[in-house]
Amino acid sequence: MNMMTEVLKEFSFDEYIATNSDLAEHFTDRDKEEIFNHFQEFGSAERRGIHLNDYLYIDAVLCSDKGDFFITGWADRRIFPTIEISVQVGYVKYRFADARPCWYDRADVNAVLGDHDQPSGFIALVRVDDPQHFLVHSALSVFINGVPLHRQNVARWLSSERFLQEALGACAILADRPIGETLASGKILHRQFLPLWQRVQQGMKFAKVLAVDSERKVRSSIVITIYRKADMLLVQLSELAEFLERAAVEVIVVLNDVANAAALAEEVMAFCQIHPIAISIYNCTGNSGFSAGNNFGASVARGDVLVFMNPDVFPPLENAEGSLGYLLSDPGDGLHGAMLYYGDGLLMHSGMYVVQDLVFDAKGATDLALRVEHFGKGLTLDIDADKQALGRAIATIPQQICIPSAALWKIRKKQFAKMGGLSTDYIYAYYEDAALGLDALAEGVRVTIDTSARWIHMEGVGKSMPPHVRSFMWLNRARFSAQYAGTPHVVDTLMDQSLL
Amino acid sequence: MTSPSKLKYLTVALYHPRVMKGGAQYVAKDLHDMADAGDDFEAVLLAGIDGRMFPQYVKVGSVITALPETQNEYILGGFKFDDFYHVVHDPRRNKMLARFLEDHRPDVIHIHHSLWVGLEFIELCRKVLPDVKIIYTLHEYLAMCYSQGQLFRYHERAICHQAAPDQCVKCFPGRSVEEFMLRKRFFQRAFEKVDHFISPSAYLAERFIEWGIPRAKMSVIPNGHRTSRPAGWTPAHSEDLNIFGYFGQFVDAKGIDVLLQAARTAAEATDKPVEVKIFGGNKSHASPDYLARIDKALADAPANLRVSEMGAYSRENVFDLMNSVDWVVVPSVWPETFGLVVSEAWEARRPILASRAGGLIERIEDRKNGLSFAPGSVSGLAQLMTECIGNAPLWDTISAQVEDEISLDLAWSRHAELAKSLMMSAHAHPQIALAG
Repeated sequence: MNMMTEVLKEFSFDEYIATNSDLAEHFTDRDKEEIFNHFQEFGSAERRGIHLNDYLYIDAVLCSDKGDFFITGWADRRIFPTIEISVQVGYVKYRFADARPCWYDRADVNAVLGDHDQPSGFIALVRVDDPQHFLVHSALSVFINGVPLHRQNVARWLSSERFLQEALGACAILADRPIGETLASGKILHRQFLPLWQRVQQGMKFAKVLAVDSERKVRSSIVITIYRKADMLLVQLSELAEFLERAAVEVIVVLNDVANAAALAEEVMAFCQIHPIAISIYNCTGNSGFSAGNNFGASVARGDVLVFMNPDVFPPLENAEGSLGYLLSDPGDGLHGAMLYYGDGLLMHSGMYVVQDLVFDAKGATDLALRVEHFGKGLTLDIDADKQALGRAIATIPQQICIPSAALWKIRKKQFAKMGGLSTDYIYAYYEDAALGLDALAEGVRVTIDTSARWIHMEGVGKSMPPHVRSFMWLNRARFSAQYAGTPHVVDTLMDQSLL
Repeated sequence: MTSPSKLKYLTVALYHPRVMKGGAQYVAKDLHDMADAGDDFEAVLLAGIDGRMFPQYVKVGSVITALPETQNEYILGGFKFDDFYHVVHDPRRNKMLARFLEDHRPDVIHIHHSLWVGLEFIELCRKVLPDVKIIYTLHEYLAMCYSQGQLFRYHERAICHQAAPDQCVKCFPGRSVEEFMLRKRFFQRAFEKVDHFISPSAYLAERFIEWGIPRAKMSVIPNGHRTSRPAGWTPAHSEDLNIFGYFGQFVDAKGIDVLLQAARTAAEATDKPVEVKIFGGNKSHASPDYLARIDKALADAPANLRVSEMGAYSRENVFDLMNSVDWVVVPSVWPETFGLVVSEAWEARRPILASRAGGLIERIEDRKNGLSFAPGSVSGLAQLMTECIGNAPLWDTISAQVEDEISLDLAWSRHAELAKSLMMSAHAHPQIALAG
């Protein structure tokens, strides 16, 4: 006996007319074909008859005074396979036809919707074409697929940098996930964030707030770019004071978003009364990022040799001659790094290398993600170790893939300019040093880790990173992966296992 | 003008007793007065102060001001101080300090503190006066302990026996191990420029030698004692020998809570009245947790226990106040660097019940010049208090065996000897160790 029954599909004309009052005046019972055509052409796409707020929701909207909008929410993808975003500001409506939202899994939403096949959460970053002429207004409405889902009667408009940081902070929900799940989104979002980041950078200005002994003839310029907290600068200068007082060296400090730069300049001035060193301080109006800060420092440097140094790098307590000599010696046409040690004296690393890993998401999509690793990390030869023993240990390091860390490295000013400086495409910080290192290797620049230069890197450990920092690290990694995956000086996962 | 035969001796202190009373400033002022009174030195005193706390001592636009109606005593006012690295980066202050040093040109600078003086002052002294001899007296553990320089782990309520950076972050979770490494390097680098260190106790000296100060640069000179005991005075006690006195600050690490809990236990064990008198100020600096423990100790206390807060005291009246109690209790839970109260109790021939903490260990010989118990031990102290109540033979024995701390004259002679020996040879490593 055949148990199958025929399923009859029937369109409910009465229900369609009754629940769509705008149609009732145009159609009667006789116009069934036209009614059905209307449904097929418009009604189904407009999701008529569905209470949309149960299937589509906006969690938060950030807006900048230059017409940037960051929108997060979720949607049932079976009803809304794609979303189209429009924003109305006052009396002007902007349709962002090319918006590319990044979809990600939201277990909380999936559990309610019942759809465990498709990601339901979305992040969208859109901007108007002409930010300079964007007019803010008190009223802000956001539409998804034409549906008004969000309205603010008193909109708060963030300045560009604040918008950037808050939007980055909101992206941490993706940044904190395994890279295989988010690499594709990271690449998209980096491209979307980049124009905003460039605009933020263009708005930055550097002002000289202190110059001491600016006539001293110098061979090297030490560039120290500091972000927010300058509490280690005077400690660092104290440790280097005896050397800096007598050496043909100037120090250039670039302050990125450092609170009370005037007080810091006064304190450095007081320090210079006791320790006559050549130093200048430049204060940036915001956070220009690690690359731009260092590039600026390089641009004002008077020395032929640029030494880029983090503010938390210190010479060893004993036998510091080689380390201090590093600050003066000429790297030639090469790029020279240093040996970096932890505060407890154990080796932090003797150069870096880049590894590409095959990563994948739950749906089976694969990609190549790059990570930066360090040679010699965990080696139990401390800062006082016999040089020969250390030399033997690091002799195994393949120099053709070795690059220096930005915590401490040096290069001739001309060579730095020839290479175009550090890439400012990396948002705020991270990965720009590895990018420069790989560029150097690609261009045949000799890259060396000076094993006589032993420095202690008091990098904070165990401190949690704020969400926006985690996000730009992730976005920069995506950017770095997009550019350098598959290039000759990047090693694969298997080779990584065999390296020191 | 300094006469050719006199050495110019600059004492640099934290506070002046006229600005704020305290043990370290009394020691510094006493030594300055001794230097000033003798024929061998011309003495100058410079006292660093927090200008925000005592604005009346800071003149507008001036960093250094003379203390009214004194000869060669000055106040160094400050308005900002980095209490982690102990530095003051102030151009105006540096300029005036350099001028002060150039004007006075001391041969010897004796620094008694880095708080509100600043470690950069040591470097400045070296820059302005490259040959000056710098002596540094360690009055507490601030260089190795950011927790008020007490080596006391408040979260564990225990003495810190290992001031390592990874341990420091347990007291200060908001700071990193690296910060404490740098702090230690910073202090050690500044201390490298000091010619000689003085510690008032062997305990403190050994802790700092372990921390990194070369043994050859460390001497122990107890804080000298200036007697105020009347001639012909004889010690006496109350009829019931049941009055215990506490003299000191009303702050957490002093162990008043231990004393009161022990007093309660002792009172519960006897029908006799037990009295505790607390002399000391700064109760406002005690933590709420500490005050709560004290309240708890006194809640529903037995009727025969009487506790009185007697208020602050000074060294002008401490001898008389000491005589108003039978026994002096020093219940400190932090490793006292010296224990000035011990000298004051000995002056009044009071038997002391002291915890075996820090410098007290070497000063209190159990059953000879006092009685001792483990730091923080309520039961240990209660047992001793029970033993003491009404025990005239014990009181008489210990009181008769108590001797004064070394005199201020003797202590100063050791300081003077050290200063002169430093002046005599740049390569000499003078060392003075006194048992007391």
